[in-house]
Amino acid sequence: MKTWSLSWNGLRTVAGLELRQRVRSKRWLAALIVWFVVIGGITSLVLAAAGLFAPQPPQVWCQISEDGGQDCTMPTTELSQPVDLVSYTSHPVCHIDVAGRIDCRVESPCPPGSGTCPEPAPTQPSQSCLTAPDGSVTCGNPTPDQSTGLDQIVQTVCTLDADGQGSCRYEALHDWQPSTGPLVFSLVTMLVLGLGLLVTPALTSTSINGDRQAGTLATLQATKLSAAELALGKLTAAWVTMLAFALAALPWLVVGVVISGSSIWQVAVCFGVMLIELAIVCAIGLGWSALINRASGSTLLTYASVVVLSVLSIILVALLTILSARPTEVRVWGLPAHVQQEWDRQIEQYWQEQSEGASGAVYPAPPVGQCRWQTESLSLEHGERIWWLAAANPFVILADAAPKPSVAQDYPDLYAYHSGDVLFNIRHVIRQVAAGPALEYDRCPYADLGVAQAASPVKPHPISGQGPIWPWGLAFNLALGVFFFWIAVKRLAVPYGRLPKDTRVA
Amino acid sequence: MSDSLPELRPDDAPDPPAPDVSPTVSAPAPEEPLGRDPGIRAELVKRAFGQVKAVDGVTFEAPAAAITALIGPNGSGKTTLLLILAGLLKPDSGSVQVAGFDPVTGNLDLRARVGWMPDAFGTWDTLTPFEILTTFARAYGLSATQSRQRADQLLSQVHLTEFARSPARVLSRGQKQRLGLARALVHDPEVLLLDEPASGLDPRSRIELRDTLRDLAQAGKTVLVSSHVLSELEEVYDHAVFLSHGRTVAPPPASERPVSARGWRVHALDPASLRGFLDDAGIPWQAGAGASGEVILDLTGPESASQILRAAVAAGVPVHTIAPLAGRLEEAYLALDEERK
Repeated sequence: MKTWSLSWNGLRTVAGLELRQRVRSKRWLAALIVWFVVIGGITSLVLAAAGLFAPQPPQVWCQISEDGGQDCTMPTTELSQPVDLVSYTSHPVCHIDVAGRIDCRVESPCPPGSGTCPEPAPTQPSQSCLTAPDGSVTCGNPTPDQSTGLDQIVQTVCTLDADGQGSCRYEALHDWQPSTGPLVFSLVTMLVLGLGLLVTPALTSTSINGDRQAGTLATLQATKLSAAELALGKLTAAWVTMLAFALAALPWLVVGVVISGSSIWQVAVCFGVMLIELAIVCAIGLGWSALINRASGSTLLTYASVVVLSVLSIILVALLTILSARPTEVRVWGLPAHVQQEWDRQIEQYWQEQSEGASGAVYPAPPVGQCRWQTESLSLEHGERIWWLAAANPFVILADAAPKPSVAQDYPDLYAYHSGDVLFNIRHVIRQVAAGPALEYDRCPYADLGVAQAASPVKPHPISGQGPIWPWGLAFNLALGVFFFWIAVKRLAVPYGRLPKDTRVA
Repeated sequence: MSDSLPELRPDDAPDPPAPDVSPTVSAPAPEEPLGRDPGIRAELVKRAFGQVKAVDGVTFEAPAAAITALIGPNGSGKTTLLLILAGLLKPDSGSVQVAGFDPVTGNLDLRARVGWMPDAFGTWDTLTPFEILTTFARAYGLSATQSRQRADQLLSQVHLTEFARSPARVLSRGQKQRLGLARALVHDPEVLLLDEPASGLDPRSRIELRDTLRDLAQAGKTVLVSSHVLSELEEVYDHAVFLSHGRTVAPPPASERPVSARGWRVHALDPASLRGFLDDAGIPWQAGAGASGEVILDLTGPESASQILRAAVAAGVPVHTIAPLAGRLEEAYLALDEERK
């Protein structure tokens, strides 16, 4: 059949016709200007608001120590919030002696009144000391603890300058920390996608039935143009219009990029995914306009399709996640009940002795050596069964496909928590849902010891280790777009066999 | 189907006199061999929309280098038939050849050779006539240069050159109709299908349309015109195809029709002397419409008309007009209408 034959000339003729009509009407110019102003306005608001929340660099206090050197304590900052079962934060302390040797340790807060703190696990001091050309020595001291991980984002750096003057400070491992860029970039990207999804249905949802109504379709069908050329020409014209809108938003995206230091790669991927998603919505509108005779009907259905894809899917997943809670057997690494009871008793006794003013009481060390695997039944939400409902969501696809900054690679939880990067947060949440609940938990009271959890047999629950979601969503959406495009071509193919009800050829 | 001229609606027409002259007299009988390959050949073509049998057995041939009139009342299936011939609608059964191609198996080849002007069509209001024509030329695969030349040429042919660069929305209905004709001609089609081309045209444009169609036929094209405006076709058609209830029908031959009630219009410079003559001769007459004083006679045919004319002139009545009440197409049309009842 000639229905599917495509020629460059035919495509250009149809697309040119559509675009020319669109350019002639002043409405589109007005819409473009409004679009630019709205996105610019919102970007400026986001920028202004984000500036207020820029985190302050953490402060470092140093004092002269008895031996004439300096003791610098890194205070726990507001960044140090518990995200795991272990709510322990360390205070790295660096000591610089008069000879210029630097020794950094992580000291755990001791239980009140205790004279004998458990010895903090020494970190690997001075491993990464570098001597700069000016003679200063810089020692990085990343805390090795991977699971509590709240101090990891900063590195204790002590510097001994050529005059022998030492100083320590926090240095962010990554320079994203004080930046509002990711927030601005991700919000503007989402905004452009959202507004694009609002505008796009208007471009194609009356494309075919409108032309039929206006009596201009049949005369084109009677020419040598194939149905595929007609459909693809209309699709291309609509997509090029959306491209113009997207390009009008580009300056504002660039603002986000410039202040965030996002890579051009990230911008390109976001832009590319956005344009693909808008093309899919164009195809959906085209299909509806071929299926439904009344312009109001096809417009409504196109908007409904967009709402189902981008809003309803999220609501559905959120509700179903709650409903998916099931009693689930999990393995818990912790103290057996009788050991826990015994330890609790000892602690109680310790406090009692404290209150009685007894000296020499020792805070009972947690019996971590007796931690065992135990089975428990917990009510857990099983997002891994329903996450795919949200996979076809354009916002999810865009967020999941966006390349993540390198810092997010290393510290996903921290980055999600602190950066305000909407894209990454969506990705983080959906992958968390898709990963399902953790089936092993660590309740062994290491934290009280201040020891690294390296000894725990519980493997970290792989959240971002879950494979990417966007290929599924994008493939589904592409299939959807192809299906609607196919409908449009089928409905445009002449000679008509069975005519849909109430349809006139001309 | 639009009906722009209500006075021609069969329902509004007075009880028609039955013609005793077959309208096919001047058209070749179907079995008569045609000079060259027919541009359009349809055999037992049927097409239904659900329960409605829009085209229900159409058989006809439209020869090349001739103008064929497609005549039938509203709802007789003319527009549907033209859609089938234009390659837009699949016939349910029967065989169709247009410019040598089947509308189903050779759809693209057919469309490339057929120019179709629908009865109701739209124009892209924001585009100029020049752009509209070049767009169609491009859609038919002409090069950009050819398209521009063709557009200019057609615009001057349909006298729209002065509007060539204005938006089409400023065009009047008749101008749009002319643009529609130019559009159908843009790829120099072998077969031209025109659905009600004269509606909305002023008298001058109608005459020009007639001339254009004549020129096209002379250039060897097959021209099929459907129209309600029978007087327009009267002087231009070579063959006629009659549709009734979706079928091609041969109007009943003259012999089968009642010989009475054949209306002729007679007018004289002195109406009183005409009436006196008729009364004297014992010929029954009725007053014609209007105050002009013309009379209507029931005659059996042209022979009796001739006799009466001779007698009247001999009697010194200043007769200046004697003519059948309706044209031959109108007559045949009304006969169809009668058959319909």
